[in-house]
Amino acid sequence: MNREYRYLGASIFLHLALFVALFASSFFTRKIEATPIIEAVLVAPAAPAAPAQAPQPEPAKPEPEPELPEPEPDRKEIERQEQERKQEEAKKKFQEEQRKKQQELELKAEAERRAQEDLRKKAQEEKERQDQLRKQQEDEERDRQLEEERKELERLKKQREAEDRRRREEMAAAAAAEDAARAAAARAAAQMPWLSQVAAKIQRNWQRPPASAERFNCVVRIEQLPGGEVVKATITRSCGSPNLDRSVEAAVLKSSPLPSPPDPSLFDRVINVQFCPTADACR
Amino acid sequence: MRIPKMLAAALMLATFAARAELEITVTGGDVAALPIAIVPFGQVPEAGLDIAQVVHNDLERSGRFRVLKRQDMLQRPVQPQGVNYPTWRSQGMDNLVVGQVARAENGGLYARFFLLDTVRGAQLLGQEIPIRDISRLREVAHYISDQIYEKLLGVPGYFNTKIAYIASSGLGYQRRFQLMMADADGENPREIAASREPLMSPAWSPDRKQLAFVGYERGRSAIYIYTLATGQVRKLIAEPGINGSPAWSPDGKRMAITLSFENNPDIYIVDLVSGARRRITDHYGIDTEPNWSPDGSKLVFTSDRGGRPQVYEISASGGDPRRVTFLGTQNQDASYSPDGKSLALVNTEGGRFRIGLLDLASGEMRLISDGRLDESPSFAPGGAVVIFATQGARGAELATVSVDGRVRQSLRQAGDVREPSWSPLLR
Repeated sequence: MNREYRYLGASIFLHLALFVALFASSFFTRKIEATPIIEAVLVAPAAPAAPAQAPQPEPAKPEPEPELPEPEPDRKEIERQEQERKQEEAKKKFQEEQRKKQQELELKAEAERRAQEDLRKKAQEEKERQDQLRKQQEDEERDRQLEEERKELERLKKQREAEDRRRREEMAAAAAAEDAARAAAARAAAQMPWLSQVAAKIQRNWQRPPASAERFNCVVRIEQLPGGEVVKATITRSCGSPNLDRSVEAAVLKSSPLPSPPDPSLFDRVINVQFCPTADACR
Repeated sequence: MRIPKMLAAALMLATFAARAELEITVTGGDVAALPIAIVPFGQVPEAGLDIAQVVHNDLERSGRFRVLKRQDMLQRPVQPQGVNYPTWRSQGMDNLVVGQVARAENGGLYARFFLLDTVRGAQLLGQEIPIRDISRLREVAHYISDQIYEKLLGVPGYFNTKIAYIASSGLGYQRRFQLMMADADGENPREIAASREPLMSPAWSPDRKQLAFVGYERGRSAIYIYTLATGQVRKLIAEPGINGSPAWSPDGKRMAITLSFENNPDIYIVDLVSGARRRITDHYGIDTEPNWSPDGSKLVFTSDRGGRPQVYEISASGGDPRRVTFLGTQNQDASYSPDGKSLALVNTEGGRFRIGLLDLASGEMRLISDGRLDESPSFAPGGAVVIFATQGARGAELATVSVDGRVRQSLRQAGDVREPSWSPLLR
């Protein structure tokens, strides 16, 4: 961009300089012309007079020369007129050339200016395009960021929601578990008297074989019907000897029907009975 | 994330559900004699012996069974098909034995019996035993007892074992001593050796093939060994003074005895192969009545080194003896139970001689007989019962008592009988 401005500046400067030079040259021309032109006329009508001069956009005002010699009716006059005419012609030609040159220069300058203009425009366009691109990119970037932020927010929200839900579920589960535990505890407490009746009956019916082990700990799983009829007694942990196993199984079977709970809702179908010779052995 | 949580909750509930399965604990339980009914066998007339009665007596005497009296039986089936289980259950008879002695199609006799679990209505045992010799029906009966005993208690029965003992009769010049051997229930007694001079201290070899005993010849004692298979008697040791109390080591290779030829009565161990002797005790007191621990590592013996006879324990390789009896005025004639945990001995207190069981770990003593002059305790194989000599109405007699002291029975014998020794199991 800078460069474009620079070019622009340079061209403006160049133009200005050219104009200044052109303008300034007119002064020089006038000064020099006063005498040298005559001299040139005198010495030689050589062309090379001009080149030394600075270019004259305006070949000054072709004012009538103050020292214009009086036309002489003679040949000399004619010669002089001819020479003058020639000179005039040369001058005209030169002026024409100058003008053409100037024109050319102007054209060139114009072209250059146009080119500069084009360049500038192009640069402008490019800049605009770049700007637009940048803007577009920036827009896109912003959109993207916005989108991301939105997504992140959404994720957080979802997470929070999930967490809330989980917490609620956990709390519900804990509450349910607590309720269940409380209910179970209450139920267990209510079942205690009945269960001790069951244990007492089984204990009465349990005869350990003589000379059997003094330390064992076995479990019989009882399945009963409402009413206490034992439908199945399974040894889930052996006492260590077939005779003891038989004795505990028999104790359960002989206790059928088992005592019923006072409240039928306290009934449980399955009871696990642990058997051991002493409380110590139960541990 | 959500599902595992729900699963966890479900599991938690499941554990609650599992915990909800009721659990109760029953401790104690009556260590009581097992109830059993032995229904009279259906028997062909030529089988004279009441097998069911023999089995009944065997099991009852062991102290480990409560046998239903015959008159209380509500039915008398002879095979499982005829058994009405609820009937027996209602009488508390968890176990039931039914059987027959019958003639097979080929003409041979056989005994068949079934052990039934009335609680479950299941058969625990069923056997058929051919009878080759009708005069040995008693052995078949003891065999059946053994089978039932082992099935229900998990330890081998001991009913087909023998007892050796000393019988004496007559007075003065008529006095006569016999070394006797009989079935474990006292039946089938037969004489092994007889003498006008005292016979004492019969002791079974662990392989049950020999009997050691103390005999006198013209007033001098000696230790003899009788071999059952051949009927031979050989003199093992006859030192001056006392030769007494032979006791076979559990491996049958050595014998502990009391000898007094060196000084006063001390315990010696004799190597039965080489004849080498080793003195185990050396004390000015009387050391006698040695007996081996079941693992053969120790001996108990009676010594009056403390003033009065008490029981001491000593390593079989010698060393310092350790006194083990402190209850009562005196204790003597100890022998180890088959599990090595207790001693049967004669305890004297208040002028009464009774059979005591000393728990070696706790030092606790339990008196299991209530005679005035009970002596010579000897464990039955398995240790359920102790046989001993007691003073009956017509003189000394043999009696058995279950180790819980609950079942006592005297064995019918003629004359004075003493010093019973229970044979090992045939293995």
